[in-house]
Amino acid sequence: MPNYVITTKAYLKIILHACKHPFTSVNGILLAEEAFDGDSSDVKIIIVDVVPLFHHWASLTPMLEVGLQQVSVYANRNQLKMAGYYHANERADENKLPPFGQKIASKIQDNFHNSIALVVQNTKLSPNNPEIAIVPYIFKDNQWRPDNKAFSGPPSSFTLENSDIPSITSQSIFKRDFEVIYDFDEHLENVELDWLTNTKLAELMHGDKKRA
Amino acid sequence: MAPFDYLGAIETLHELRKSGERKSGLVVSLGERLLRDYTGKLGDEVWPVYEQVFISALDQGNDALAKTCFEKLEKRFPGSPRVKILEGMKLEAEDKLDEALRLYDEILEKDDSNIAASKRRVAVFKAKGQDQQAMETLSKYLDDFYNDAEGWLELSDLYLKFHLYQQAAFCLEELILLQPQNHFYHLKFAEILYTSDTSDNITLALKEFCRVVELCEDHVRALYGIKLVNYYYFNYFNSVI
Repeated sequence: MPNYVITTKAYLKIILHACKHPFTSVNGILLAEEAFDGDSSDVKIIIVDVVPLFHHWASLTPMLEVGLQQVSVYANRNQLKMAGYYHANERADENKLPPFGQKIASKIQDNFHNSIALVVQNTKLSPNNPEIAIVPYIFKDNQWRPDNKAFSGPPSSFTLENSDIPSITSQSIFKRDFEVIYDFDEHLENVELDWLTNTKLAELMHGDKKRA
Repeated sequence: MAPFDYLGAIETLHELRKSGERKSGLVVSLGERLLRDYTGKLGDEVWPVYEQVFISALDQGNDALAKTCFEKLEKRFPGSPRVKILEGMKLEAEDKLDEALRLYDEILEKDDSNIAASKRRVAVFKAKGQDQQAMETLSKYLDDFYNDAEGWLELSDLYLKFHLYQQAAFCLEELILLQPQNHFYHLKFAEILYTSDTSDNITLALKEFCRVVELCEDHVRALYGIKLVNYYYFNYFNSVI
């Protein structure tokens, strides 16, 4: 199995998207770069970015088809691969990947064999108590299964780019950065909103890096 | 520092009460200030504002503010069923779901036409994860109160959660009967039809997407919908030839 690295940008965007819409489920697509791990011939998949899709009507397909097409074009243009799906459920105690989410993840897997899904753990989102709030799902034995030992150090295949990511995310939530993250639903209501790159958010994040 | 635009704040809160939008952060920040320093300027409007800020404070987890608003309302309207509903919502926010349910059942025993109590019961079932129960309760409620657009919309969302597209489409048909000029319902109907992916439904979806554009020009979602259906037919005809 390849090694997966989740970058700050990807993690942050997932959590901010969930924070912006606390009353509904949200979802989106993971974008990755493939690399080879040093001298071993292991594949390393770096989830460098995500594109937020929906925060309502997430189980209706027409806009999903349009959205996936557009993300696919965007990914190709930026030499990235559509490597997975992320999802945050509506209720605080719902922490599993729902059936429709599994379908979308499987669809992405048709085009990228090493796809994963990331499910937000709603109970771990409090900015007062920073902790890792995502659980990866991998497709094994014909089912999407959670990897509950992820991010806990070797031999886990999942790592965060930087161990400070949860506290960086908390700071971001306190500063209300989630107000400038836009998803496809919002783009469809106002086509000026940049949902693919989310440049406004990128500027804020970059500004943070300079200050730090 | 610029003086607080209290007239603008009063207007904003009024608009939000009318539209029913859930902007709890905004309501709490404006409402808290108004209720602290400008209650005189609100006059009789202060009571609906207390109610509105109470609900938004529960949403934001601001228990202190919610308590203050609730106490004011309880003092002014003792024994009022409307205030009792707010008490129920407070229990829901504190995750005391069974207690809340008991409270709503008590209200309904005294007055079985209390719409708010019926609807809050559905919300509690949803919060408990008892979606089946929520669907049944809401369905029964809509048998009596079939004009309740909000109820039909909520039921359609519950059906969609379980991919019961036919039932969800039925709810949307009821909504279109209630408000045929509302493009939102035609849009949702069209998207549900497209999702259910049968050739009859896709034909109807195209009609509905067109209807949306007719009612609301340059509606992006509907235009994409029309494009998608045409693409679907193009592929279909190509494979048949």
